Amino acid sequence: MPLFYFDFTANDDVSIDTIGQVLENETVAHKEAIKALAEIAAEEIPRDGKLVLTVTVTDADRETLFRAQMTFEPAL
Amino acid sequence: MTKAIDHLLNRLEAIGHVTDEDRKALRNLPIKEANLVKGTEIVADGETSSSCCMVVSGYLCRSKTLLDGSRQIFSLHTAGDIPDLHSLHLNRMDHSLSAISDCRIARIPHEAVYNALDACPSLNALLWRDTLIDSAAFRAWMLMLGQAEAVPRMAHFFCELFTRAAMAGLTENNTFPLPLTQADLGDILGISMVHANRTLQDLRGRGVMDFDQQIVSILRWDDLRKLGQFDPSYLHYLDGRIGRENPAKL
Repeated sequence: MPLFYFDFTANDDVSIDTIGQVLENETVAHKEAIKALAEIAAEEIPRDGKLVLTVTVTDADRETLFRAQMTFEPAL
Repeated sequence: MTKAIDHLLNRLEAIGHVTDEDRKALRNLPIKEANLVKGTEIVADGETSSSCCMVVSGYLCRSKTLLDGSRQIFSLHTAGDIPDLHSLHLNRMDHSLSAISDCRIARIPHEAVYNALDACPSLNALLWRDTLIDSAAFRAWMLMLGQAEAVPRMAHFFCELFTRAAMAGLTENNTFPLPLTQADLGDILGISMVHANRTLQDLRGRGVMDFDQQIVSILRWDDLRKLGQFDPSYLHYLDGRIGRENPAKL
């Protein structure tokens, strides 16, 4: 089964995945990335202010396969 | 007699007074050992059982699964634990008991346990206390699952496992074996695999613990404990039997 890396940025804070995950295929990797993005957003958003949260999925050679971004913009 | 009884005795000695009679009654229980591969279901949700299952080595887990296949793992059990002790009185399982790693188990017929308990009332009290502590651990975990963020939740999980491993005499210095995958960790913490992996990297990055080659190393116990808001009093071990402040030192 292939290895995927999931890198996240929350505003300017970058966290690079150094372990990676072995998953069935790219479709599963997409699904997992989106689930994680939503979970992390649920923890980060109530903290404070604007949030731009990005997940980047790469293959074992670090080629980008997929990127998703979520923006939280407080109205006040 | 299996060494699992020694781990069970270690744990019981940490939570109560074990008499010579209790010890003898436990050592005399007839058991049948078996090796299981990871993923084997020992008792399925809804199944009736006529024996209890003691872990000799490796890990078992208790879990339930939704119709869409999402699984929540409620608890992990290692050497000396009898995770389905309650089946003595509730013999239709309301959850699944399975091997989360390759493991060795020992089955003890209910009949033999009933006889031992009838003959030895102090053992009855001791195992009742053990079962009550088991449910206290569920309450503690429910709080973390429902209210804590992923980092404190994972920190609490490792603190509890380390403390329980210490109670059973399974720690080596500040380490203990934990043969789990990232998917298992996600199912325990109730978060996606990716989030579990990221949370683990966060804990490693803080230098409080490490989890490599299926071995957990506690690097800064006090900091890990603070992070997980871990108060071990719900495990009800007796002072002096295991370090209340720092089981890692014992």
